[in-house]
Amino acid sequence: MTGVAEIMAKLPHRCPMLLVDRLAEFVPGERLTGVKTVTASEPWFQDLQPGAPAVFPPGLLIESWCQAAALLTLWDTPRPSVLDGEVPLLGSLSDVTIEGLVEPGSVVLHHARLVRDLGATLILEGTSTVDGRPVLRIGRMIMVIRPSGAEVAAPVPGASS
Amino acid sequence: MSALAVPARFAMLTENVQVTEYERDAEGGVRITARVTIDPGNPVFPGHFPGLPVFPGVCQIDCVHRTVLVAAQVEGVAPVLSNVSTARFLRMVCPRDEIRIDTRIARVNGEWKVTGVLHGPGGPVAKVSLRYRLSRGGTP
Repeated sequence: MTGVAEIMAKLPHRCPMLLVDRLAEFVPGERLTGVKTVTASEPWFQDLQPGAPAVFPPGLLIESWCQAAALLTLWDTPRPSVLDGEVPLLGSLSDVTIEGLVEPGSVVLHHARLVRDLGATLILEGTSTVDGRPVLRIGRMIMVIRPSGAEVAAPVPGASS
Repeated sequence: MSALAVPARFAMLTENVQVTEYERDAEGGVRITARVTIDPGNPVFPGHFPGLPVFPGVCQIDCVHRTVLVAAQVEGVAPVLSNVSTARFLRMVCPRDEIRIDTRIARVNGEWKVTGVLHGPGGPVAKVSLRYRLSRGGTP
């Protein structure tokens, strides 16, 4: 099984923003299924009150899917240390539908598919499911790959206006 | 109007969003201006990324969402985020950046259609359009 140790060797994300726990399926250059288990001990739930609805923040669900997408694109890129490698940045999202709520205890499967590989810019799409039920649909994500270090801070190309 | 408190359900994602202007238009829409200074102590930064703190794009979407939650309180409705129609991230947002959020809410067919623009020190940093289902008495 490909677990968090291998994932941390590929992504620069770290706790509490490392939001993929393991891989369930991986076809290089084509598709990947990442697994995220949501628990009540995560920091976003620290102010949760008895009786209040506990919902994994939808923004983090999207971030978690995006990390699965980044694993698909960066798997073959060496990362000798956490920032000594390429940094995947979110260029844009479109046609994202939140189809269900995710609660602590849920095991989320993030299905990411590579639509086009334009080098430093990649187009991906996919869905997320819990127990076979769709909770998120990503119509299109544009990922921008940046080298590590100060160059990362430059404006995102092609994303102006 | 004076600054409104923003509901702090997920306090660690985006803190200190302060609404500074709030007005209704003739069509039942709402226009909001808010400000946030990105706290270098935000717990997302050690993990995003170690040694290279970048305010995540999804947290920028959350900044707009916070202003929508203020409007929900004022207008007495419970909007539930259903779509991120588009979100474009134009520049990096870093700790201590002062961000202005311009949010416009239009009521269309029982939904809220929201456009939000985040402005940073060097110009616009993100443009977001969101859709919300409306219900009464639920939880945003």
